[in-house]
Amino acid sequence: MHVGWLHVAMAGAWGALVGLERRAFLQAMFSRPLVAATGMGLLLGQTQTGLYLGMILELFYLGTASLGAALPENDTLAASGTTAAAVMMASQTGGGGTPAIWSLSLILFSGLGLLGRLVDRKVEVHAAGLSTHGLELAEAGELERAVRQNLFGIWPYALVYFALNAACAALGMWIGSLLSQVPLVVLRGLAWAFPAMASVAAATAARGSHARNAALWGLVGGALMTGFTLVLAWVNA
Amino acid sequence: MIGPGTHLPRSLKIRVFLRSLLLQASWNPKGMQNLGLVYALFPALQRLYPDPLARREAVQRHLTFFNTHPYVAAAIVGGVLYHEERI
Repeated sequence: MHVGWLHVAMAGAWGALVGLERRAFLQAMFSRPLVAATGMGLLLGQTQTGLYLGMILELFYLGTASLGAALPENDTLAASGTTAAAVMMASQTGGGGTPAIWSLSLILFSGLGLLGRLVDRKVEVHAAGLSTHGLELAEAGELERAVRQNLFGIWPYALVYFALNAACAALGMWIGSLLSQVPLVVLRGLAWAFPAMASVAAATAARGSHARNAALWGLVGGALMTGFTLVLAWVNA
Repeated sequence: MIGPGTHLPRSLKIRVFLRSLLLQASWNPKGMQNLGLVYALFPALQRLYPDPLARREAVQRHLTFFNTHPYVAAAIVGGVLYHEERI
């Protein structure tokens, strides 16, 4: 199997695992964007990409939690899918991740959060059917079959998140092959967009904390993130 | 039921705990975590209620609406087990 498609399969597998962990099993914070994205990057050989994207998405989605009836945007899918795409884009260019690739991935794939929420709602409808069937089986005295209905709620998450993450990786591979045609000025702009996104993420997190002087902290956080990223870019230049 | 004050073995409680990690596997807007709760409790209910009719009543009792924060679910499941042992 070509190594690109192996990575697509691995991306799908990791995405399925963290997608399951978010809702169906464990809920031990492994599905948080920082962990999901870093894990994806580590698995696919670009930890730095996973870490940088995970940091930004974690800040964007700070405070969200999928508990009970609360169904925020699917931050896990956004993180794992965006990272899978970014890593595959970078691998097609022959080098590691760059701020331009990270920006492009965030722009193109962060909408996965909304898609994931839609998927979650559909899976809940399936689970409602399982609950009804479980009740019927219990009334009929088939208790073991009734309780086993709980396990049938797992496979939709596994299947759908595998497919979505694998699709993001495959799409990233395709977009990566087209990057050489993108004008340099656009790539430079995308590279500068990354610290801007980091600043917005820091400000969003500060604002979301409802802390006193949150706006001031947002400004300070944004300035620090921008300065740090610019210094990093200058050092690596 | 076996009898009031029946104590479940530790291995069974561990089994219930591990099954409780799948509490939200079939979360649904109707009963919420009801199936997950019953799935977690079932090994204990099998031990506590050898009579099939009593076991069915116990399962149906826990198949009603249930929802909690998953991080404290183990404590609630433990509480349910505590009371089931003493019925």
